[in-house]
Amino acid sequence: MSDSIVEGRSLGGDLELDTDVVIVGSGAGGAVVAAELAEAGQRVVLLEEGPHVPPERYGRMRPSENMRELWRDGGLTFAVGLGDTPVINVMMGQCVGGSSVLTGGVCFRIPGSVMREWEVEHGLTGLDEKSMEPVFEEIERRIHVEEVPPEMRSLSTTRFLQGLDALGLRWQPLKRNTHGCNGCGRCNFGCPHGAKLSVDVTYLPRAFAAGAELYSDARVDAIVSKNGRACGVVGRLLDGPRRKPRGKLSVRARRVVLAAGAYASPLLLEQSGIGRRSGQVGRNLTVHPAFRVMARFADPVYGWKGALQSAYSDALEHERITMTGLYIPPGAMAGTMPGIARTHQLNAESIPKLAIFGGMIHDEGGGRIQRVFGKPVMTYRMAPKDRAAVPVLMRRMADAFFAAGAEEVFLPVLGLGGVDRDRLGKVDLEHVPGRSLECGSQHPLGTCRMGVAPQNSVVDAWGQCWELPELYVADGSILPTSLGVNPQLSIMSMALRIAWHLRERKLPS
Amino acid sequence: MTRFAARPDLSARAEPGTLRLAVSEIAQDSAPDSDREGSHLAPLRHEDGSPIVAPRVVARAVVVAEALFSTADGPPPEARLAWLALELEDFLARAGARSRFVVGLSLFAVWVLAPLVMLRFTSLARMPVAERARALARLEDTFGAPVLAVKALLCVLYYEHPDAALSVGFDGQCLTGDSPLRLPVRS
Repeated sequence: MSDSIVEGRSLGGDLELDTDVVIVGSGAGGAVVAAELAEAGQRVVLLEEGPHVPPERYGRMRPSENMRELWRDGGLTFAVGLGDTPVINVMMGQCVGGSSVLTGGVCFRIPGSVMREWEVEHGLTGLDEKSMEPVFEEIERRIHVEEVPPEMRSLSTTRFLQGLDALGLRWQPLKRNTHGCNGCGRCNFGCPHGAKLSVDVTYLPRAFAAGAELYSDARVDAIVSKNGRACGVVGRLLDGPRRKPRGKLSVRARRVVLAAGAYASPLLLEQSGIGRRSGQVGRNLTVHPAFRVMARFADPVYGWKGALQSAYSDALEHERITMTGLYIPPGAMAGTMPGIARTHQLNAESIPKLAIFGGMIHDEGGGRIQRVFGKPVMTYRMAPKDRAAVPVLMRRMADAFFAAGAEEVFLPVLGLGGVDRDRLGKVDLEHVPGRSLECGSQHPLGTCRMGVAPQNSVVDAWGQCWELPELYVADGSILPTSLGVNPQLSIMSMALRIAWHLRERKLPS
Repeated sequence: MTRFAARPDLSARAEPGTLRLAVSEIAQDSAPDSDREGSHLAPLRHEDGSPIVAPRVVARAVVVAEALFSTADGPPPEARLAWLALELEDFLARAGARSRFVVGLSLFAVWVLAPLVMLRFTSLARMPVAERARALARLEDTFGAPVLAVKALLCVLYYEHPDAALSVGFDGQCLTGDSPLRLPVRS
């Protein structure tokens, strides 16, 4: 595999390439398109801004090492909350394989209700369950989507599920792209056993076997056009661990596919002066605002023993809430618990007794990514009904933990501290200000959305940019709305659908 | 048990009154392997050896960490804080300018506001550790966002040290990784 990966940092001087298709980004979208087009006989070059860190190396890293080397901004990218919206920590990968290396492996098909919304409200046809079935099947086969068996479930997750059962709320096991997982609870930091089938161990090797080449440490600064159509990209090669721009990068291509993700793709379009007419580039950002609830039990649950994510509940979907199992490293747990010094120590010592579960909001587009004084700035304003779901999420999840026998819960409210069952009823969660909420996201979507008219979308139903023929976008940015579920498989499916379309579409001369 | 003689020269960059670290010897239970790919026994710095991360940022973080991780037995061992300082410096050096800005800004807010919430007009570093801890706790209760940002990062790093992880009952292997600790450079 590494024969086909050229590390930009190892190249001296400038780099000029000529190819059929250049793909910007090597994550869930880019890798799928690369494999399909390369296998169709097209010459494919992938450009990845992040470094190449092979699985045998990232699997041995501690979480913080992983963050500093594979995550964008070391995991410290934030969306500024507007109005009564919390600051949101948006975590994204920046490495060969992109965020797929850092997901929990959760795989959901695009929910049927979401596709119906795309058809009814956005006019997008051909994205119904029947049409997408072969696409989903192909992806699921390629990345080995399997249900997490009960024996892999951590006691942390089991306790929460017992609480859901007690409250009469339904739940289901999750499906993940794994093979041979032994449940060591660190999927978010790169699988140490090669059991998570992220695109760096599935689709990229396929692409390389078919002749594709990947250049890491290669930052694209602009999309080049000629005679009214896309014809390449230019950028810089990044050198050393500080990633300083060095040599110039220039790729001439007959077709350009942008798959840099919902954060970087709109910035690159904006930088290239593309998409201004619609005014939609960088808008319509959805993030699935996510909140963790932790609970302390009398006995240890050792939440790190078991699959990181093994079950979910859509019992509160009518409230726009999906609850999903998760686990976070002990340091991150200690850091989000209240207290300093002795209080901190006491809380940290309870980590083995802490169970954790997450809840995310199926949000409406309320965010934007743009450059301000040349720097990327992400802002997000929660829609009123999304904001109203937050206290419901916290209260129902706390109820579930108490129903399972928890002594105390820790809600994502700054300064609140641990809350027992009696106190929960007295806490005015409905009036907690947004700035006091602790919120995260790993699902930025929608910033170059797909549509049927150039007035209100950036790309057409096949991912082609309205303003520039032969420029396609194939990543999470094209999703017209949020999904309410983890988007990895949805992104890959949309990319595959576009790839199959491109495979049949003659390359321009 | 592997022993390393180490003298991280943090004192030169500390602000007046801040903790001065002069670690003469650090003992670690887990032996590092400097030949292992990906190991970094020193924080990432400029080619001329000058730090990428502003020294005052690291010094301020150590002052906060000394209070945050203090127990009934007192502050954590100096060696542990020295290790944390190097880890933080390396993290911020690699994570990029944006993360350095976010952490620097959060630390500045904590630095300025924590003494004020105690109605003290002095540097956080000049406050005794116990009072510093009370100031941070009060700030966390009243204006928690910057405290959370600083505390979360410090905790992620601090509890990756095997001894710190074990001290809170964490015995997981996968979440501490098996790469070597970034230890202070042998002097």
